[in-house]
Amino acid sequence: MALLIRRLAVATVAAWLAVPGAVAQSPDAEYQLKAAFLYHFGTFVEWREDALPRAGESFTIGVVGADPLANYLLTLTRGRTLHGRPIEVRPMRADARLDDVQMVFVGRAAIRDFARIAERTADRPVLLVSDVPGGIAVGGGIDFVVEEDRVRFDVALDRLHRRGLRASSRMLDVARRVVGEP
Amino acid sequence: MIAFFRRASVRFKLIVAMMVTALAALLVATAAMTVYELGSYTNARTQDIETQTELLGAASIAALSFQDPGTAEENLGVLRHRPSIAAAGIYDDAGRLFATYSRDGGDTFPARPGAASTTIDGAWLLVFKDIVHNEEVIGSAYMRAEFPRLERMADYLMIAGLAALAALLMALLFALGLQRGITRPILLINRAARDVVDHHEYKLRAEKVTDDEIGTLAESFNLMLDEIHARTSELQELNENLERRIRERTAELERSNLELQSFSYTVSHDLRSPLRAIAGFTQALRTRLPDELDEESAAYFDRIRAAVRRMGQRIDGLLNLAHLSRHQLARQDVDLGELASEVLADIRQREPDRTADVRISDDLKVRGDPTLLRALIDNLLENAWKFTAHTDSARIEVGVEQQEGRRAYFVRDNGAGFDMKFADKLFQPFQRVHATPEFPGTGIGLATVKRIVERHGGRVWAEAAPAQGATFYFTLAGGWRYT
Repeated sequence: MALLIRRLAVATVAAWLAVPGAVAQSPDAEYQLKAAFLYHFGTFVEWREDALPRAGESFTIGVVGADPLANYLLTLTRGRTLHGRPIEVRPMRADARLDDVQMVFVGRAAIRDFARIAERTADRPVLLVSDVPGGIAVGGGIDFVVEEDRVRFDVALDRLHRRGLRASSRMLDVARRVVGEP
Repeated sequence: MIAFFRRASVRFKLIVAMMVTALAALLVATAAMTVYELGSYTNARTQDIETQTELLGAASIAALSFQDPGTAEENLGVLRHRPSIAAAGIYDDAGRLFATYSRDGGDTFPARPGAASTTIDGAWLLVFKDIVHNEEVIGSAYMRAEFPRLERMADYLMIAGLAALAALLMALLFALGLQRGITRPILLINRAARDVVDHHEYKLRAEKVTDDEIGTLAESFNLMLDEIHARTSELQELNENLERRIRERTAELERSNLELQSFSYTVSHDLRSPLRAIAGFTQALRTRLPDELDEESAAYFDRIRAAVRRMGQRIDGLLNLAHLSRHQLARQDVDLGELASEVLADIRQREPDRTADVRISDDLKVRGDPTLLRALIDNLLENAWKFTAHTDSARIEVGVEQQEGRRAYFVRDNGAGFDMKFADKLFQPFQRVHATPEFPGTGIGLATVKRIVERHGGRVWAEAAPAQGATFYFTLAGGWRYT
């Protein structure tokens, strides 16, 4: 039953998109897709067991400067889990505490805080995702890229590695660019 | 077919039996292996395609997750190395076709993914698999692969058929070799038996080749031949002995018979001349004596004459009896009743004063020698006539009755009869039951009767009681033919 509901939810989100992976002209459609991608990053990236919240606590995704995306993500992740834990979507300000988050998405509105956030979480098992290209250059793990009306992403493998994260090769297969390969 | 099989040789039957057995075993084995092979092929093929579909689905997870149909189709392109897969497709979580692969191009795909399943559709295997990621169904993988079951079975059956044919040929070679071990000993016995039957050569022996039942049969057969050979020689010897003895006895008998005949002839003949002398000189002596003799002397003369006459009669009887033995038997239809009437007419003529009630059956036709049978009836009727001489209202009957399944002819009278204790002596020559003066006779008559009946292959006997009359029965060979 729960599975069915989840399927329906994903189906509903996906049904809004006429062409798979294509971005409609509205920023809403783009954020919807990015929200889904964010969730999927969570499924393809491995955290060390001690980096994950204790059993019963939530896997937390912090969303900075992208409240609409946070809303989509909230809808999307309702009833879903990541690494066996319920998901908490936490819209936050750039200077919020980052002790207990596993993923942080920095939206376009807060992109000038990106480098600072990267620095604050440096060498900690936090997957840092940038809304626009350039994040990788200042310490981010994954950058979203819109190319030919399609949402794609670049991965900085060495950064993930340094933070104790491991990305699935299957995810890397569909990445636009993978940098920092060992 | 059954009749043909019954006529066929043991060799042929053995070969057929072995071949049929081999064929049955091959059929069962081939059928079992075909069923097994088909089952295992179906399993293997199904599992292979299911795994392939599963892998394809797994490889498409990232592409599905990140909305990248290009990568998905690249993944599907790997299937070019598996030409038996005609088409494959990935559906997203909304059931829309996400990526496709078509070996020949232009395949049509199901508009919506089916539930996870494997379907056999004729020569095609259709497989749907859910694509699961993070405990969630995110799409479906579809695959349509060739499933050439019938071709596969045809190939397999052809190979199995060729193998079976080769096996049968080998079985035939083995059968040809093996049957010889069984049939050769049988054929050897058979040939020996044929030779024995055809040539009556009991010294032949069947060759014993084996130590099994057939070997025992050959031994038994040879033992039987030994036995037959021994018996045959024995019989032959016995036969030769018997023949020799018969020849000897016959010669002996002929000699003694001849001797006896000449003896009785000589005796009769030689007895006649002294008898004639006695008669002649008695007559001469009488003429020399005075005509009127004293009563006593006259009586003596009468008695001498009577004795001489009786002597003459006896000699005649003896001659007759001897003659009977030499007489060549003729076989004709004879009516005993007719004979009896003629004989009776003679007798009545001789003694016209006597009255007797005579009954003759008209069912007395027999086959035999007319002369001898006439003598037989003559003797019996003479006896009956004689022994009823002193009976009031004499009665004589000539007839026939059934005794022990045979026709027994009889002459019955109600005359003097006799005591049955004399029955044994009755038919011997010169044995007389009654005193001479009352019933004169030679004592030869019944001996003659017995001889005649015996020469006809029959039997004679009498039943009587003193003063109650007598019945003389006789049978003749073939008498039953007239019943």
